[in-house]
Amino acid sequence: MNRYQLGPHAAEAPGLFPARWRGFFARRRALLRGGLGVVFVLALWEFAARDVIRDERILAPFSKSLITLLSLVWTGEIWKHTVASGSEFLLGFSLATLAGIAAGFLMGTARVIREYLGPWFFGLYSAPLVALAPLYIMFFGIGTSAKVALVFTVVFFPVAINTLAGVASIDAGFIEVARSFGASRWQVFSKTLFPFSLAYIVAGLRLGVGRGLTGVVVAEFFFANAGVGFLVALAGQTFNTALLFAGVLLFAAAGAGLTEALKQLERKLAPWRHAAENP
Amino acid sequence: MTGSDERRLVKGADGRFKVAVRRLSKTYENRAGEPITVLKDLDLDVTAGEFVCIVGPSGCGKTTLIRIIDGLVPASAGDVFIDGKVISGPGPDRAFVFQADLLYPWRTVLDNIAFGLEIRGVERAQRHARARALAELVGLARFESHYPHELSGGMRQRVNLARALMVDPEILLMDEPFASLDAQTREVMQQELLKIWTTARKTVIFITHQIDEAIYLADRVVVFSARPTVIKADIPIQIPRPRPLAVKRTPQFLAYVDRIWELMETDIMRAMELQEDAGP
Repeated sequence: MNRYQLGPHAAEAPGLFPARWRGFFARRRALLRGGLGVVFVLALWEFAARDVIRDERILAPFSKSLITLLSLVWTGEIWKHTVASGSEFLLGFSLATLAGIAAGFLMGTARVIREYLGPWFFGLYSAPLVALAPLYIMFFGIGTSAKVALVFTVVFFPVAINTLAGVASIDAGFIEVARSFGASRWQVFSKTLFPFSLAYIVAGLRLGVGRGLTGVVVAEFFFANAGVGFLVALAGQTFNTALLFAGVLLFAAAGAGLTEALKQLERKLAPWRHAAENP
Repeated sequence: MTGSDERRLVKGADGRFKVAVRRLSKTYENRAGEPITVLKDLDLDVTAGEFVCIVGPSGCGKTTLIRIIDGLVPASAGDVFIDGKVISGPGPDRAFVFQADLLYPWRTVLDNIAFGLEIRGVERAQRHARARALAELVGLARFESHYPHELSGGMRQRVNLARALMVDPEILLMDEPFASLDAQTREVMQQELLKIWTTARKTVIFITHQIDEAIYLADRVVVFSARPTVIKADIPIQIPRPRPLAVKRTPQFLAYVDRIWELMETDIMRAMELQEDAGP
């Protein structure tokens, strides 16, 4: 790491901290700044709720939301909802992953399929498919299946499109190397096309996390008797903003956690891309 | 068909050569749909263990020729014989060293080298043992578990070469493998290639656009003309081996350079004009 990146002060200023501490801060600077940013906004929220708005029906302070969340955890109430939403999400997400990858490879390798179905895929990829929620409730009833189907629908397209992008962007030379060594069609797929596309697939999954969580919430808004989205809707109808924010916090945590896990997976599967993006 | 009789006749005649190219033609269609003849009725013989370099102006079809010999692309007409047998696709007797190293970025150095035997279903322990020996041979033993993006251009080309040697081919087809390297690294690689060739005794067909590289490496330098390609000259290089790098400054060496340069000069000019014509 060079001096320039450390900034002029880190290298020269006689500091508040001993030199070896400065190194510690420099290495973790992004993390520290990110943490400070989060704390600052939460403090702003707390202040606005307590001293500006002063009405918990409009905005409950952060501390109250956190306590609500913790008491839900403490009483065990939260698990019913988390399990309901979580299982809907995971089932829909897993099915969409499998189907999306298969569809992406099929379109990527068979020109006829790509040309016939391409407009549908690209059209639906950018369409706000959560709008199908009321229709799905009519189709599948108010049980789990409607929510799973909605999560599937919103996750499927980004995974398929990203897989297709991976297949399309492979250097034809990579395939020639395999052919030159006498690889069969299956080997060309399994040893070059598939491992090359993995990084793209994971990027699609990362897009899918946000969309899938939105799918769960929206589906539960319409009809449910359990689930975090149901909880949020209920809180909204009863002006219980503390509970509402508790649910939102839970979703935010789930989204951040899943995205981070996929980032780690990408680092494992595609170390070269990781090196290129984070030198 | 009368063609098959003729083919059998030719086949009988070519068993002496490791590689025999007979009346080979290749015609592409360009974007406008017009046919472009890259190779026409080309003949070339290479005996076993021989190191042949092919030089020629860019666009003359050198690369197309060795891609056809490897079986990556079909010829439009004519045949390639290996040990007297017509080829119909890639085979275990040949390995291709690509110009862009094309190492798989998701594989370590060791797994990149081992790739060819993995394709052939050789079990892991066995192929890794051989890949280790080859990593050692090309001087990369310490980098086995590195990924390609962590290596320099010269190191990547060593892996590329080791990957081709891994399958123990009888014929190495090399398409300007050192073109992207800096001058010093290229000279080191040339020297090491000769060292490996001396011990392994492969038949090598090596494409280059650098005259001095061709003379330094080859038993024979084949000079291609600009399109439509014919073989302009087939020059045996009678510089004794082993050849230290200093040989490149001897009068004998420089005389070869002059001779080949003279042969190529007009064609290089013509090739440049052709490219200008093809431009927008």
